[in-house]
Amino acid sequence: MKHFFLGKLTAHDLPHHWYTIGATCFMLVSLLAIAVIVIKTKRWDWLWKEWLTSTDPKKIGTMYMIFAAIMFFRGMLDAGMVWLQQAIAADSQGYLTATHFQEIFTSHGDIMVFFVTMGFFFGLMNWIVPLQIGARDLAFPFMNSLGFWLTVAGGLLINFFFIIGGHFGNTGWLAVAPLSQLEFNPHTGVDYLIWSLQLSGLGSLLAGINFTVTIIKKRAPGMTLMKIPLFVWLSLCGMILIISAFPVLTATTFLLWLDRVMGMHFFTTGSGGNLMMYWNLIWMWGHPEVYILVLPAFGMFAEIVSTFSQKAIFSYVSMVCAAVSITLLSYLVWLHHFFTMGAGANVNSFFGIVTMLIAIPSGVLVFNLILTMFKGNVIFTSPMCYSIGFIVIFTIGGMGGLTLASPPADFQTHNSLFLIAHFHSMIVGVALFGIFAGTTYWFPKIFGFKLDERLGKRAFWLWLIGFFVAFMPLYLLGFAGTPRRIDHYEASTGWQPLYIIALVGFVIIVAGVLTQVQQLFVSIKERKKNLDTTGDPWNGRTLEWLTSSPPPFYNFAVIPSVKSPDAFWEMKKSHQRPEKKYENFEMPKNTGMGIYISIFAFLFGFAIVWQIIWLAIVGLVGSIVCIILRSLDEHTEYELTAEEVEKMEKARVTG
Amino acid sequence: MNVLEEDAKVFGFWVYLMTDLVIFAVLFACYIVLRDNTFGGPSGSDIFQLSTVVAETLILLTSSFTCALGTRSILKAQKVPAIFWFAATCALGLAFLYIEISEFYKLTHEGNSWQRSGFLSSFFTLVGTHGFHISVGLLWMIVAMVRIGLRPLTDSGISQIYRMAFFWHFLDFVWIFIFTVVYGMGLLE
Amino acid sequence: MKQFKFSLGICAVIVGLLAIFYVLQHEKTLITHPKGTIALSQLWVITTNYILMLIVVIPTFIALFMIAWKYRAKDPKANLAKEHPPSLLKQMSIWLIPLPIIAVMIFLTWKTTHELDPYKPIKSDVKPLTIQVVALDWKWLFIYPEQGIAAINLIHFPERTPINFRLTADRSPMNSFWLPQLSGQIYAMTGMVTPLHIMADGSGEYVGRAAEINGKGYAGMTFLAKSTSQEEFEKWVAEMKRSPLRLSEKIYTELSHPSIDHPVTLYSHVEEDLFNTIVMKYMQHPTKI
Repeated sequence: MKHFFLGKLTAHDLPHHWYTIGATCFMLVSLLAIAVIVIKTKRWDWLWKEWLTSTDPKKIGTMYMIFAAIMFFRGMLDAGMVWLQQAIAADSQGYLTATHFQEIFTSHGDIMVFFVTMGFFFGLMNWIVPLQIGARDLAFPFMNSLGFWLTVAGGLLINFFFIIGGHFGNTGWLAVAPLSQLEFNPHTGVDYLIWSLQLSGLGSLLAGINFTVTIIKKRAPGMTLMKIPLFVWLSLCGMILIISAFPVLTATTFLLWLDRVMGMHFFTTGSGGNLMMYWNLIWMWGHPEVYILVLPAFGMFAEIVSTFSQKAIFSYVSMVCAAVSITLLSYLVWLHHFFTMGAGANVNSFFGIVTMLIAIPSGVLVFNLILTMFKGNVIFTSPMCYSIGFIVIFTIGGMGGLTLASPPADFQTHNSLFLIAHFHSMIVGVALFGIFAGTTYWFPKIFGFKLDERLGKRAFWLWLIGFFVAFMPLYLLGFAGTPRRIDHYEASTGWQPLYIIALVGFVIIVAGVLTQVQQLFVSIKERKKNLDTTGDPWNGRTLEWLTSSPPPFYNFAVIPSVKSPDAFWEMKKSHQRPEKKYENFEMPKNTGMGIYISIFAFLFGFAIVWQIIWLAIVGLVGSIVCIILRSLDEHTEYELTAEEVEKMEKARVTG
Repeated sequence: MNVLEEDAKVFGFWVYLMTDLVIFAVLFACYIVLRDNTFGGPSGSDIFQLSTVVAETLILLTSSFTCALGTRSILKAQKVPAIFWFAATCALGLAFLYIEISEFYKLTHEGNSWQRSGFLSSFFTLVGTHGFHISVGLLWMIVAMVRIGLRPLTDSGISQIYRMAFFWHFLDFVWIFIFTVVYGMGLLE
Repeated sequence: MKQFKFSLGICAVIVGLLAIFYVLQHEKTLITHPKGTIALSQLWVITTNYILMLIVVIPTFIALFMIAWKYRAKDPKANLAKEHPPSLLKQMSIWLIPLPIIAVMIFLTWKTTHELDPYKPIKSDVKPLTIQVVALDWKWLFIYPEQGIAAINLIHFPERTPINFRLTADRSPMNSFWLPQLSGQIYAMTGMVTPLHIMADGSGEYVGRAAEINGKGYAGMTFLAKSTSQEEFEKWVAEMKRSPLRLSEKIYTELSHPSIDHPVTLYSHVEEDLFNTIVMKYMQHPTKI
């Protein structure tokens, strides 16, 4: 009976380690605090109607960014714990057991990749892509809400092991087989990993489909594909990677779960399983994924450099060709993640060579940005500083990448800290810097006032210096023969001084993060001084600057028609004013269905981790019933008449 | 609901179908890699039966035909014929599932379940995933029939039925590959 | 103030570069101090690639900073001269900048990947020595099939002699065998045999590591490798043959259970064909019923 109701759950799975108790208390107290605030200020209704059930991509975008920021703190905490352990664990076990240490860096990777980077990107894309293509919304507003809430459900599940279970996966972020198989990992940690990735992966896939259809089908009249802003182009490439690669992740982790729970033999050692197949499949997803993490950032930098150089991008055509070639090539390189598995010289050199080819469009990208600044009038705002920092770090990381692309060189650097330094150069220097730059750049559009520039610059310098102090030692440790993921080492290796310098770098980065938090608070306090009253605070070039800051909920009263790239810049030059020809249009209604489906999905995920069959059925049936109910709903939109729009526009301008 | 919105919905559905195709591609790739990993157990030619497979294929192909007839009736706003043809499609789909589940049941009781070898794991998963999709299609079809019966036909309703038909035909398309790669190549050995 | 910050920045970069050079030449930086022919060639590949890349990267950085400085806005509101978009030819010409260097790197990659294929035996007049490696949780078992001896976490071999490693794993997930001063890594996997060929230049002691996470004993899965003269190696083999411990199948089964920080253990006698038995455990020929 107990097994029927509770599956594999036992009392032992309640928190009883210092970190599970600590994390559980923290989460419960935070939740309680938020609940108290919401109830006391009587804002539950407002929260539900205005935010949680919203289908407005601007609201969903803001929620994505808040969620990603929260997950970022969790990811940074993991990073700090790892750095501290490695700095002190010379000839000692440090303060973490080996297994706990391994769980920490596993969750660090999954959280930073799936929830932080992708969360921030989806947030900014939700805000900016519709505005830049002259649309009012994404193609599928409900699916947008559903994708967000599924991602939140995944984020809840990935943290839920603190409360029930006590273990996360200890296999590294990709749960490689056969380490992730039941014989080496009998407890539920790997299952939590698999199912939180399934939930957020489904959310990402829905967002990918949504943005692809939006960019292809919902552009303003006259805006052909070669006239869309580069952020939209690069996002489209990223979305195409998502829709083609994420199903591979879904299938592969599902097969791993089948091995673990249904006794199947896809990737087992023996019984006809094939270990290498897991590696091939997971990296067939994994490599496009890392390009998903950088392509939108490239787009942001292209626009930021162009705007702050006050000059059109040197070669729009090259950027598009570079983006498309990187997208196509990224499908052909996955084996470079496991050259050392012994595929033979012909296979290894093929993948090595194709990997090196990607350096060509990457280089073109960098030259494009530098040539945009050439003969420009460059204003060094903090987004522009981040762009310079990006070029430097991306180039250094790219050199590391080319080293890893050569199989003989890779045999010495694979799985060493050199590899860690390379990919963090890309994720921090490209993705995170892009997020910081993009958020600062578009902050006035989103919230109506600029961020404090002085603190922004200070944060940039702390991040830049911190990055170099933290990661240059890791490149060197790689050359010293240091493998990744080790929880202790002998002092005689001489590695400890470099680990300690890296820890100092982390502390500098933390100072940078704290400065960013300070910047946020100060900016909010001083917002009246930094108001954006024109909607165009940076003398921008693309359509989002045509609207007010923040825009009305319908983005554009009249959809503009477009004749060239940098559409807004052209409008300003020719003193063209948008026509005031108002028309009726439809807007999507709010709906709580996304939340309900995600709640059922979370219950299903939790139940399936613990093999509680009745609860899993409840979760599954609940989600299906909600989906059917939603599909039968014929009244998902409401109409705004031309008169109503005209009235609102007049009120905005005068009020 | 204007025409442009429906165009986006149809395009979006095609994009979703492509992602589903990628999932099947992964399962096919696994099957092809693990085909010979019988680990002392039976291989395809030992357990596949031509009669079963031919029956399943004929049933599924016919169901695609009845589904197309149902869609045609909907376009002509003929509710009762539409429900009839979709009900026929459902019946054929259920027959297909019955044969497939019987095959799985027989194999499992012989001791050749998905736990026996890598080959059998990939066989059950690939064919089973297709069967799962068929079940989802059947559920969708039943809901659609209820909706056709109880509500007036709207543009959005017709568009949904179109997409349901795409889904059904897509499953037929995947079955052709299963028929060839799994059963065909297995039986030819 | 700005001048001071700028000078400070330049000093910091110079100090950083000096520190990097210091670490790279330090003897504990194993990859830049190869002691084997393969590792030496691999270092050559890394160095050549970096030099080639820097040919493009250094001018790029110089251009970046010079352009950023020269074109900084002295008057942010100044309107630029009329923008002429560059010709398509000019736009596409930037593709030519990275192309030649990448082409050279690609050619070198093809060549060196084949030359340094771990599967390729090392050409030498000296007769090679075969060492079989079994990666266990969380220790390395080394078997010398010709000498009939075995050891846990310790190997000796003669200098300037090709060593043919044959690797597999047992009851252990994916493993990676790494002796950075002698060669790059190769994976050791259950049910499979991967070869690795190395040759030490001279005498020395090297620490070998596991480089692929495989559970809680991962960090401690190190071993000691010693290259000596031929006479000293033969003396060591003779000493091993005096060890009271024998690696029978029963002892091996006990050994294959997980253990962390396993001490160095020496066996004077190994069960016949033990390595092949271990590999074949995971294979089973498909039989028709």
